[in-house]
Amino acid sequence: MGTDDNAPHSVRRTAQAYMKTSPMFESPSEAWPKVLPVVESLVDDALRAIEVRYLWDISADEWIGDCAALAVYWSMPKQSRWERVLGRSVSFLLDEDWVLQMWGAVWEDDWEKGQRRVREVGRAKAKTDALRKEDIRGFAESLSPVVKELVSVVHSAQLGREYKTTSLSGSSLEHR
Amino acid sequence: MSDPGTVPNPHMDWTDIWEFGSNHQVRAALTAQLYRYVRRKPFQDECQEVRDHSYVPTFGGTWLSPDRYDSAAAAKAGLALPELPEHRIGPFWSLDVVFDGISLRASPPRFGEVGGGWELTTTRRIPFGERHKLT
Repeated sequence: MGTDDNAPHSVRRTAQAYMKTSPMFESPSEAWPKVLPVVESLVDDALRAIEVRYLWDISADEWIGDCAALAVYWSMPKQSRWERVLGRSVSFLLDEDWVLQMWGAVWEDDWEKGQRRVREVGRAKAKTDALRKEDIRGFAESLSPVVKELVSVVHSAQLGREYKTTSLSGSSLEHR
Repeated sequence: MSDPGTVPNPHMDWTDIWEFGSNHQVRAALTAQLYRYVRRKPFQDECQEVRDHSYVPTFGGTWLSPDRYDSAAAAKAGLALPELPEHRIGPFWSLDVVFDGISLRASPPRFGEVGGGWELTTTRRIPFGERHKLT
């Protein structure tokens, strides 16, 4: 007559295949508040590495359109600024499949003509296996070179000839 | 106004607004109707619906636009959204919204989209709006 060590309430219960550790994050949206400072820090480091400083009007938006997303812009053209400025952005989305998608773009706004010219200059995806295993440091280490490369490519890119155009019409506002 | 792209304090009367007559965008922003474009179902929305049927943002700011899009693809491209929105909520009368986040601006290119639509954010509560399913 012995005790059953594998009884559900036994303190000596041995690990079974079905006794998996519950994941740290139930969904990408839940993980995003932990991921966001990591990605922001990596972008910051990457910008510093290529000597882009606050002189370049760096700004960032989070949770765009209620998604687990981040966009960082620098030298962004403004309507009040008439000289030609090439704006640059890198954006990140942790999608529903736990893939971190990344985009880079350069653009120029011509408010006199009401036209924007945009060129997508980089796109990348990163696995988030480490993140899902609660390994934030491992996730940051694996992501660092990808972010560094993307930021560097965006910073050195020019519009060239292969760009898309879109209108910056204010008419929908003016006639409302 | 030193910066025509800046939306002024909305706590102003109609005389103040009239003085912006030469600045179409600022005047229009003050008198415009605004919309939200959201991806999720109402119960998973990024805003919480509070007792008086207004919304308060759950994460930071609420994104609004004076541009009315009828299709999800057009909203995604124009507002450079990360994913296709499922619903358009609004209109909201802009004078009922406190502009304390990102000032009215053309959406920068991001997430592989060209942007160019108008956007702004608020961290304050916004009125309840009708919800329309986007095609």
